[in-house]
Amino acid sequence: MAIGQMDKKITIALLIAAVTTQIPAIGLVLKQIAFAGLSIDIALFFFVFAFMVLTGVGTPFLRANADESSMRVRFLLVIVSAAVGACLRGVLFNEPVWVFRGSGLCVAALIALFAGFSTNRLFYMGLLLCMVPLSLWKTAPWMHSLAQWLASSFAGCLLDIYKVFYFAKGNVLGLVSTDFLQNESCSGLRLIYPMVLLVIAYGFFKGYRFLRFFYLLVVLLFWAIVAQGAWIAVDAIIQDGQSAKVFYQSGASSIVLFATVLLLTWSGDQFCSAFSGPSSDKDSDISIEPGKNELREAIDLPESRVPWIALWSMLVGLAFLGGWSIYKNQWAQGLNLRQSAAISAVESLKLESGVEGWTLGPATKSAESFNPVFRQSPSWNHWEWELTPEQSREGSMKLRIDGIWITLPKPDWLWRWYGWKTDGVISEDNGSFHFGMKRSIVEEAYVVTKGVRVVGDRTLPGPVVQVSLVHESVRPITEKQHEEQKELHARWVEAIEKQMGFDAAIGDSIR
Amino acid sequence: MLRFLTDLPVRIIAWISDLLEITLRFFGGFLDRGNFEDSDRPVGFYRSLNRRLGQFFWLLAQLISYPIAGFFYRGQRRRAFLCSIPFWLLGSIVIASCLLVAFNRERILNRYLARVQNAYSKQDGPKGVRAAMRWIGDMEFANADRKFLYSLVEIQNGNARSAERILEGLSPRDSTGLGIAHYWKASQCVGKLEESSLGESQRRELLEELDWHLERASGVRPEQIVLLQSMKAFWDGRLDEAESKYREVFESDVFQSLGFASLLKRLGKDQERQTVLKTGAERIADGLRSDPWNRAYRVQLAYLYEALGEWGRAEQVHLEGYKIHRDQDSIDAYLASLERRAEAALKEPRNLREVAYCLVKFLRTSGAGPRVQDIMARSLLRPQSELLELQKQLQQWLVEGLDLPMVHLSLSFCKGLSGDEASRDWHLEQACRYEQATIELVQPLIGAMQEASKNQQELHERMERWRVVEGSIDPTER
Repeated sequence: MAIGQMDKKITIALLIAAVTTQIPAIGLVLKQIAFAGLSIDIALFFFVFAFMVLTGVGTPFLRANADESSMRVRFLLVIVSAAVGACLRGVLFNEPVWVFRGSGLCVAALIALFAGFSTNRLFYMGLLLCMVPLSLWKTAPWMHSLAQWLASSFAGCLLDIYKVFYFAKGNVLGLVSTDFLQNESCSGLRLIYPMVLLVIAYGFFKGYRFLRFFYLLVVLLFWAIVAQGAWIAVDAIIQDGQSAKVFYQSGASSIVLFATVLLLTWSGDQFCSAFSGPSSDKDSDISIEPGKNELREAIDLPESRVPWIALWSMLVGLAFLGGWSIYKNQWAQGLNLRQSAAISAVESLKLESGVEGWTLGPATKSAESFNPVFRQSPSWNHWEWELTPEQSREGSMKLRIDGIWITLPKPDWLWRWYGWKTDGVISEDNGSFHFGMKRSIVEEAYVVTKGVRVVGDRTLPGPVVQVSLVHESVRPITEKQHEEQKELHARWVEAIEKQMGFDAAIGDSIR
Repeated sequence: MLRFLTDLPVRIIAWISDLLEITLRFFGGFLDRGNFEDSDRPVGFYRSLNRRLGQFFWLLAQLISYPIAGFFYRGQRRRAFLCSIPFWLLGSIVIASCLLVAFNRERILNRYLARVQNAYSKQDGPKGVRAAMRWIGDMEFANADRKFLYSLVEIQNGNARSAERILEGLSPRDSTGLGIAHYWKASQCVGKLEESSLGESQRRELLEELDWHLERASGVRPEQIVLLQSMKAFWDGRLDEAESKYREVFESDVFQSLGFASLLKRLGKDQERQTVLKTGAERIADGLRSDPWNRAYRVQLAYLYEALGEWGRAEQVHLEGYKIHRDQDSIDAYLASLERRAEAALKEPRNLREVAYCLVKFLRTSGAGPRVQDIMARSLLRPQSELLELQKQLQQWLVEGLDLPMVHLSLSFCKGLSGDEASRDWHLEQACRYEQATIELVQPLIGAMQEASKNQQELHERMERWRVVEGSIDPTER
């Protein structure tokens, strides 16, 4: 028994060391969250976290008597291996979010060891601590894009049944009766982050196993997509035939949407219970039997010490990894910037009014702009200028700045919302990407784009704006035009970087 | 009796429930032979298959009987069943909606196609384009004919270049494509051949392309293809063939008179051109007499008179049209004709009688608008001798009784530019006495003339000196 307690103490001490050495990266992610202004999301996150800890501590199933310590060590090994993997990825690819997730897993293991939680609860806690606000996920744009495509398709079904004529430009629906694109309602899956958090809390509270939780998550996503589609359809029906935009109470609608989705998810859970029957309910889905899965206060010594040694080695490795990144000052270039300052840096841009036969003017009509619901800052913006040829040249171009992003999505992602399809490989040249696109049978475009840091260290993710030069045409765009466009883009990017970049005076003044 | 009726629904439900249970038990027993208990014992392949089938059957039976069987559950499952009804019901509705739309896809797209056709017939290009957006990218639905329709609405939407792109796609060099798109391409080649800047090799290439597309052109009246063949013969140097082919078309279609006359002019056959124009005008005039509401006849007839130089008759045709239709289209047609007349008159050597006439007519029909200001500047800001001749022509029109206020107004400007300020004021006074509203035209026209005469200092000064005081002219004083 004494040796078991010693093992536990060693593990706890090493976990504390591993988490402590990751504090700079954790701090950086928290700064990013603060910069993004995701205060409601983060408050909800802490609320759910506190709920889990308190519910876990207050639960009557704390004591265990089965001899499953080896299984528990194996589970700890899995969790810590995942943490090591995440931290390694974060350190190697300069992504503090991954270090944050790895540390989250360690914290979950630490709390589970202290409070004697079951492996099932450790799973939920680890899952929650990996869930830094979804909007900061690199895959978030892709997820929203896919979900929005499904929601728009369902909205299309409803509009077809209701006989409202529409067309789809990628994820965005437009109405035939009026010259109007539903950019606002088709801008991503609404309230998905709080919904997922609540389902995690519900699964934790009910003590569901992984499969049942996964089923609930799928049901939630299904209804979230359906509700989003219904929202778009209702919005389109209201707008149909109206020449001007009709405004409505979107706050109240959001509450209705949120409540409906959660009610239907709960109803889906009831369906699972009713369908599978009362006996299977307890046997297969819920793991609350005290004798099976709960951790014990005292840890029995396993037959072999190899798993413990492996676990401790990994934790020591994690602590060294953190220490090494502190020594290298890897996460020191923090985000010492307020969002308002970043936005004013973009807004105060002064661009040349003309260059090499092109005149720059404000864009008269910009249909392809939207305010995504998963934006990484409350004031995600879109600025657009039109480049018109001074004489004897064909076509016009658009210079657009989109952002502010903390993690820049794939270069062509933005255009996929409007139904553009890239016709080949996206090439990279000095950090800027260029690619050709096609939409309808007559619409072609060529885009040159680059992410420009607003201020801060170039090597770390941080506030970035996407500077793009777009050439749209009904005629095939020639190689010569591509080259000219790339040169022009490089010139604009240089000018923008000078004003907003790392070495810029404005950046210095903010620091 | 009442008690029996009250119990009846409950009994019916109970019967259904019993029936369902018996059926399920019967089929379930048939499949798994009631041997779930010893499932841990190793069994043979057929036994295992039988058991799997039985399990599958029970799963299906549960799923199918779910909406009914749930009512007969006891205990906690009943609550779970009732709570899950919204999920089940709404889920079914969502899936049914998607299936409904998927199975009616063709019909729905045809609805959009009808919208595009409707928009095209109403010349509502933007709406047509938006309705076509639904199916234009659909490889299965958007066939060549529908793409052609899309190109037509794109033209109506003002996107001629998009339409060209589609038509080019529909008339590729490596396959047959759409006949009408080949016709369009052939017409485009003829248009390019008209450009004088072409070199010999380019001309040869264009002729080959024209030949290629012409062979595949269809979907239009045969006469329209013969016309292009005639033009091809002309550019090939086979002049007799070109003339005979065009004549053939002209004889069957009187609307080709102008085109044929143009070809004859190129061939240097001016006398024959006049004959063709006159014959065409006579035949169309006959047609118009029998159908005065036919706009196509009217417009064509006016063009023919214009080509013959009979501007007065062309104007007469337009005015008759206005009396019949009384709409903006006929007004626009008249003004366009008047503008062509003015342009023809202003071409060197100038026909000043016609210039004077057009000026007066423009003043009457368009007020002091930009078109009038332009015509006035081009007519009056001329050398003194020409200005005097124009005055003579205006005075002649005065004698002939043409629109007196406008003639006086024009004369007033002529006098003003000649420096005769007394006559200028007298003519303006006369104009206002005939029609008081004339005074409203004066100031904008003076402004425009001041602007236009900036490079001619003397004329500019004369215009600068001209001050009109409204109210100084009393219309009652005669």
